[in-house]
Amino acid sequence: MSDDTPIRPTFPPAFPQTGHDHGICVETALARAEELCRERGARLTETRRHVLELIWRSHEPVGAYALLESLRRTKRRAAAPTVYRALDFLMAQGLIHRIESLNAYVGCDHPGGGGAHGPFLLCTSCGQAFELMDGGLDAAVEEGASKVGFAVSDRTVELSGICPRCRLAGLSGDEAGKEMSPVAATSSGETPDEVSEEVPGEAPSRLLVEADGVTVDFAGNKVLGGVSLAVREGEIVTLIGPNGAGKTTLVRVILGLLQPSRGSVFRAPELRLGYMPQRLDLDRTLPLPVAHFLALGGAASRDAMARVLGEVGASQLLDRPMAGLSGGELRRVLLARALLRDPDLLVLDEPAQGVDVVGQADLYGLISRVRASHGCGVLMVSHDLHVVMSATDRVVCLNNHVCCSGHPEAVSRHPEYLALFGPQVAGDMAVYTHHHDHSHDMHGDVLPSGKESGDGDGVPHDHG
Amino acid sequence: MIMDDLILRMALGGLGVALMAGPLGVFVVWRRMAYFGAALAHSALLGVALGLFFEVHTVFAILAVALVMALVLNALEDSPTLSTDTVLGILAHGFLAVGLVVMTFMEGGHMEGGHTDHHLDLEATLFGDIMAISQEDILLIYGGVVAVLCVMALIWKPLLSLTVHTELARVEGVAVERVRMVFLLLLAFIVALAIKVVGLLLLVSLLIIPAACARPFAHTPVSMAVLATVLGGVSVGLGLWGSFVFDTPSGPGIVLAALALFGLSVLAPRVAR
Repeated sequence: MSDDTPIRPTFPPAFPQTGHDHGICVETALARAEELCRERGARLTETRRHVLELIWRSHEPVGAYALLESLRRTKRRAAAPTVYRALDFLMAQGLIHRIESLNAYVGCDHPGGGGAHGPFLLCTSCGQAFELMDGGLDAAVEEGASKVGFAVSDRTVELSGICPRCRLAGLSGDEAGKEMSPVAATSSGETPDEVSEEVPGEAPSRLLVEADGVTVDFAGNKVLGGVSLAVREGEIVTLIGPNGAGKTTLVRVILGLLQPSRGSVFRAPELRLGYMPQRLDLDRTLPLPVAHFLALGGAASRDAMARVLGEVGASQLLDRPMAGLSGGELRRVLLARALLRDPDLLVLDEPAQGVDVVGQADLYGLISRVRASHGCGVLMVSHDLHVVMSATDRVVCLNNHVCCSGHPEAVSRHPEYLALFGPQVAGDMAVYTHHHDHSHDMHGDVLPSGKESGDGDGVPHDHG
Repeated sequence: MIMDDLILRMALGGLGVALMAGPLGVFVVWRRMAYFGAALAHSALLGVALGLFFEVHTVFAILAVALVMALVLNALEDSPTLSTDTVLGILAHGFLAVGLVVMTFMEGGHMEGGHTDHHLDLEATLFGDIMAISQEDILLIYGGVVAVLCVMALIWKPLLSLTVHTELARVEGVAVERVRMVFLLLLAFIVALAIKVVGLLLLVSLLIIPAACARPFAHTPVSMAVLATVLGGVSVGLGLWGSFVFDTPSGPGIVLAALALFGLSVLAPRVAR
């Protein structure tokens, strides 16, 4: 399995002085790329340019960690999500050919061992992600955050807060605090390149939706209790949880289909939503070709429909009746309808329901690619724990409240998560992430190999 | 000459109703609202009685009662303890009973030569009396045709969208409640206008049978609506012709013709295979 053998970057990455198969010097190629991006109204920022240069100058596939390390050494601090977003951007612009696997970037190739990426601290003001390299998930988050001067404001989405830089900027000027707009952050003077990336339209981490303390009662039955959740542009957030955990209810609240009993939902102004419902029960008496179904989502030309269907791998379906589609085909058509709206946020309720395991992996791969090419945020609900781990940036484990949330790997080791799904399921999942030759305790410290194997043999985990 | 004029009026009235019933009927079928349509039709009896009492044109009285019915149904649809089916059953027969009782009272106090020339005729209300169709009725029906077709053209896409998936439509910005209400209003409209032609007991059949006939031959929603309209028109023509030739009531005749077409539509694809 390719996921088991992450691309091993060399340290330090090799930098040949001549460009390889471009036939021209890398500098010229970069200048061209910059021009190309400008023509398309996008911006090849310093960070993106740097990432592109590293990739182009290297003869081998480059892992994200190598990029990260190089960025740190040569230019500036950049956290992993920043690199992912840069990669997504380059992919969308067609400047790089393929992203092998997201796992390669998440990878365990920490030179110092360990490999447990600590929680990312997302600054709600400038949107930049900070990484706590050796932070655990529980009490350690706050402790670790305070060490780097990060004020954690939200414990349920345990990774958000205000970064030191924005805090300083906020103190000197606008005291607005939590939701300073990117523009306000940019105008605050001391703005290194990371922040200046936040140009409107191409803002890499615009806040799309945020649920704040959402509580839903159905006939006195508390389905959701004080749930907070945020989705940013370019981010895939997956809701997992057992049946009846309130996943679909939370999605309905975020979509505005259901009023919460308490709490509030913020939606970015003029947010375009693409929604892929869990089920579609068509009456037999309704003759509906796929093209007509797609047209219901908004005005779209036949060409646009054919293009989007091609993108989701269903180009041959345009004139087929909806009633004759298989489960997998139906999911792809539903996704196409959502994509035709050119959404800022894709909301997918169990996108792989009724699809076999191979098809599921395909679908999640497709969703990753769509995120990369459209640059939209994705919020999805899933039961398919083992498959979804590899195709998501952040997992929120829900059981009427947020049990735990964070980076997929961190969540998969979280005691509450293990208590909810059992070590068996959690162990199975490790097979799909990547090979471990060591294990971690709660704080990300390395445990000797053998004491706890991540290979899915169901050895009971002990997280202390 | 009088006969020709009558035949022309009957044909025009019947065709007008078929023109409305086509596009509305396909949605009644797609949205599984046959019972809803029947309940709406049952309320028409009360409308007829009240129209006489208040000396209002029957069509407007029926329209008013059907609208009240539609609003009550809409309000009760989200009841946590009653299913839509039960609510429909209660309202349909409740309204019918009230209508019958009010009608009996009216019969006692009815005066010949009142302000209106509409006389109270239970049988005509139940089974239709297309022979009694007046010039004024024709004008009203065609006013209705224009209104129904224009409004349907406007709400076609959102209505189809919410029929396919209500929540998806809502997320995509369709004003679901408003569109649904407009559709109910159109249904009340056709009930009020079609009572004369087929009567309240058989009214729903004119909505659903042509649509069902059209289904095996249609590949898109629009083609199904067009075909249903054509087949509705053919049913009206055949039914009227039959009722002249065999001297039978016209309302049931039209429904019988539709039924025959339905039989053909079921058999034809099998024979062809």
